[in-house]
Amino acid sequence: MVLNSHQRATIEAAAARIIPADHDPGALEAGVIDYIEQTLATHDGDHAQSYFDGVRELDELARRQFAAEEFSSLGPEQQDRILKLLEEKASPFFSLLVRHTMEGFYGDPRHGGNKDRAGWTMLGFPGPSYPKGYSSPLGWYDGHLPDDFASPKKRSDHEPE
Amino acid sequence: MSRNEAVDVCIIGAGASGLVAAKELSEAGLSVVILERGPWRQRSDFAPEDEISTKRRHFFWPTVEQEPRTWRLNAQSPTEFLSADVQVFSNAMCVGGGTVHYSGLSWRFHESDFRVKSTDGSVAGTSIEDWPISYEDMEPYYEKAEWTIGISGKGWSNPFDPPRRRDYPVPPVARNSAGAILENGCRALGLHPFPTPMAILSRPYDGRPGCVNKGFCSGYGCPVGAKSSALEALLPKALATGRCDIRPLVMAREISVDSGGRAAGVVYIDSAGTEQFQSARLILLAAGGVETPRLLLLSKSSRFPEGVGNSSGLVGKNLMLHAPGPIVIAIFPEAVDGHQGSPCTRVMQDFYKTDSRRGFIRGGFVHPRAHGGDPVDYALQPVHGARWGLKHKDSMRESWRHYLHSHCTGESLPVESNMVDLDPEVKDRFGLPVARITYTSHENDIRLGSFLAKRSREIFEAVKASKVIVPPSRLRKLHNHQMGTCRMGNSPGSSVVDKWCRSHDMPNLFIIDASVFVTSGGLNPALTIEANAFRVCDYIVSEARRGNLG
Repeated sequence: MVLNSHQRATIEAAAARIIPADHDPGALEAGVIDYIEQTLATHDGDHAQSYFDGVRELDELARRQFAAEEFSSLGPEQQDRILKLLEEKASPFFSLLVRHTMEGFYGDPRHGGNKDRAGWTMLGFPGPSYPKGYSSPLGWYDGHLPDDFASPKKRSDHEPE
Repeated sequence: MSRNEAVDVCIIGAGASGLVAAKELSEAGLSVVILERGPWRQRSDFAPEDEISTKRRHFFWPTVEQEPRTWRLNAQSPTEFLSADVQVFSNAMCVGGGTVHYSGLSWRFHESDFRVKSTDGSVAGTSIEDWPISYEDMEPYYEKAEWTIGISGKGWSNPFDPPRRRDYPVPPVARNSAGAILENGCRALGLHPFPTPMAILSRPYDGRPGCVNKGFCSGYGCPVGAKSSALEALLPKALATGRCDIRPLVMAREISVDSGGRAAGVVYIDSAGTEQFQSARLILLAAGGVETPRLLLLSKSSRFPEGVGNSSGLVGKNLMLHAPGPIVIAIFPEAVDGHQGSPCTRVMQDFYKTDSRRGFIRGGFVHPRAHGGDPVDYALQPVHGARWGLKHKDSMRESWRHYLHSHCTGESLPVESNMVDLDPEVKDRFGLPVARITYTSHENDIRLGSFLAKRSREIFEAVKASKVIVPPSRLRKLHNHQMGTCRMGNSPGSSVVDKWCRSHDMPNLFIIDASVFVTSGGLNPALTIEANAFRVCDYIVSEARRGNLG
């Protein structure tokens, strides 16, 4: 593990504000933190220090803005205000957190996040279709708009058997 | 330095043009070695539909750490490193080159594309010229490229297409919703949509399987084998001759010259870091519009202080990266499902010819794309009202299945000060100076890009898009389409290679990639690169048979 338990809890809380839960799961439920751990241990090792520093900054802001012990103990609205402060000052850590949260929520579960395909299910993406692929019509408009170049075979695809 | 056994032909770069040459020349009986700095990946290495490993982690592209490049707006402005976001607008560093991950739009340039100066005259600030060859010279080779590589399409369905003698070998790929929207939007406006000619097999051909419409094509390798890349369509034929030796993960660093002023061979660094020398009777340079001029400029000697093949001083000049058209996003009330089907299934060319009323010359086309899936990429785009939080989540839910994006590809005019040269400070992992790109889009390119964006909006609104977003154009810094840096011409003073793509300075050095383009056309260049390589190889083979290769 690249992050210690405090760092992990802090990043998990911040990611949960980047993609909050509503009637659909959010970053917390989709295990985005596990994606972040995995990418920091492999592809994005160079970014570990940004996370260490980022956690310190989040806690520091929690103390200064809300006299709180740490970022993860704040309520959602207070956490959002701190994240907004980072966004407004164009913090590279904040951009990194957004990028990794999106990757961990919408990327292939094989990389540690998007647990139970929570992100994909929310979008209506059924996941990789290889090797089967898709048959016509491809999307609503293909099925409903005239096709001047339809091959005879394709027309029969739409006719009842 | 270890010396390899001499061969007839050494090709530098295993992309679109290099693999055409490997096939053609090895089949004609010549011995061929191909040097490629990237890895040799196979169909089974392409993780299906995995955006993280393919795109987010730069499976194909030169990384900023390993293969940096720099950019500046003009000679007076500061130089910056190209960021990772820009480097992906580069071509793959692997066997097959850009054709492995391209979308596969496979165009014939129009007749006027070869004679822009005669058609449109001169424009201030540009170096427009006619090509030394015509469409008629290229036509048989376009046909050969379409049938050898395996292009799907419907011949004569485009009223603006230049003359052709033969249909495509396979019918068009299946239409998807982005194509249906383009087709019907164009019809409503009186324009002329047609099925896009694509390097994706709609059905089995030449021993390869047909497309299964699984999406995730653009930027990805095809695990099915239906994408007609140079890796799939050309390399196996070259290897089957037994006369073609491919060496991946090696970096060519110099073209060396003998005492008679001919190219003697290529010095390269192998994967163990050892220098090797490959002697060859012919050197074919096919490393693309950025790396080809870089290698020529790196090949400096007392005899050629400005680099090999550069008596004209034009090596690296006149870089063309196509017009900086914005990527328009359109959201529709019903599902577009852009993760299904080929990247581009319907297209139009109504705005291809010059119309002086528009305030610019030349033209281009609009090609709405199935987005290919890529949810992470969409989530990170600034089109959403909010970058994060519940509003961001709402917008993803509402729009991901409903959006398409539309590229506006248009001609960029040649400008001599747009160029590739050697960065005076930055070195790559081999210690070699990297390519520095100096590039400012000409005003004509900018006007053309904005014009095409407006036309895109009209087309999508004609099919009742619920929202059309035209983001501001970004500065063009690099692109997959890299052309013009070793232009072709009849005069040694004003061009780098002759009409057979042979160096004016060195009779056994040929440059066969898009560096030789005189003007850029307003179309994806791959098929023209390949057709031209077939043409040049025909010449080389006939010269070889006459004993003229030395």
